[in-house]
Amino acid sequence: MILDRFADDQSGQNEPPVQGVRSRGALEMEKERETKKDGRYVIFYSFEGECERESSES
Amino acid sequence: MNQLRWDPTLGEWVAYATHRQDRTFLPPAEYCPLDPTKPGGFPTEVPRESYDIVVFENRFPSFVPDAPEPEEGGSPLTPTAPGRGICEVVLYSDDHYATLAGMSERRIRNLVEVWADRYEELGSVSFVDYVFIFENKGEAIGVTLHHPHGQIYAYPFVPPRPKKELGAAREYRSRNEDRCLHCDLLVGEHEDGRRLVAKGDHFTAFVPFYAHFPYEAHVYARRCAPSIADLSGDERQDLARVLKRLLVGYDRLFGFSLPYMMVIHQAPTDGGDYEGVAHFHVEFYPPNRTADKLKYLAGSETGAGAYVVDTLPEQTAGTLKAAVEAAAQ
Repeated sequence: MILDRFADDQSGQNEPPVQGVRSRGALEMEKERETKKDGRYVIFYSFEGECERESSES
Repeated sequence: MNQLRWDPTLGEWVAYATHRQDRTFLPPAEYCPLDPTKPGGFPTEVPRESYDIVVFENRFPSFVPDAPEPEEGGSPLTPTAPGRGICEVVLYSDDHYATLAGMSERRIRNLVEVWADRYEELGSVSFVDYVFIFENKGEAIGVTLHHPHGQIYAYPFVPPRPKKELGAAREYRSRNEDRCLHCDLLVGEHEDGRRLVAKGDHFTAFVPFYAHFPYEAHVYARRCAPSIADLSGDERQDLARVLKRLLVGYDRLFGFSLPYMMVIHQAPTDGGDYEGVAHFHVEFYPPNRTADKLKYLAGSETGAGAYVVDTLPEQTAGTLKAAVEAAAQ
């Protein structure tokens, strides 16, 4: 996990959740973290009902 | 190699990241490393066939979390330090040809949520003092990849420009009965009205009285919120709305997709108290002074730090506001 990698003198306190679903008002955001072969992380954010593509946006 | 060297003449760190010389430079669209990885295709930075919004660690980072002590030790006058930090890339969409201006308000709203999440997460890392969210758009700005994306630099120090801005706000506050500099500036812009470009319920876009670029625009939270993490759901929605209106107006201005630098200024994450000092806002610096002429940061701007602008903010604000309103119809 990202914060494990960056930890040094951290107590682990005040760390936000790094994965999962959370809501703010009507917006629900899902967050998935993966580690690539070279060790770098990639985080996928998706949103409830979000299926549009930019080609249809204006 | 990532290292910092202290410039004692200006009192600021300079970052060195020599591996960035070899970073990917304007690849053809079919080899874009920010596109999704297609079945049978070459592996890109995103190991999925599609995505909404993605954040990943920059392959060519200016700062790295595990930067070693520099071999070059410097001197007491010019110390060095590890180039320790975190650099992320934020992909706005999996559509290679999209732009932020062309995206729906809803997608921009989602992006605002991602920015807030990154601010909170990166800001909680012990060695991160400032989470800087920005976008360089267009070859005129020097982008090396056209895919719609922004970046985040999590610095191990408060960078010079935000530091100077925060210092001015703190001094103003101390001399004016704890008033917020940015709140008072915003009140002045509303009272004057000539430089306003777009207004939402919670955010205002305007060309500042002291704009450094002809079509520079700032988007201020009307409430004195120190950071994006302090914005309510309604405020985040309105930020997306005002950003969308401004961006569409920018593209309408000269009839093409306008290059710009977009930066977010907000509270540092160094543990200090920034209530009433930091005031969340977004700043845009488009380099164009006309459709075919750019504003260069030349001798006076770079060597003296003194900007000289060929237009008055009242004029450019009027033109930009007309473009915003025309685009909205």
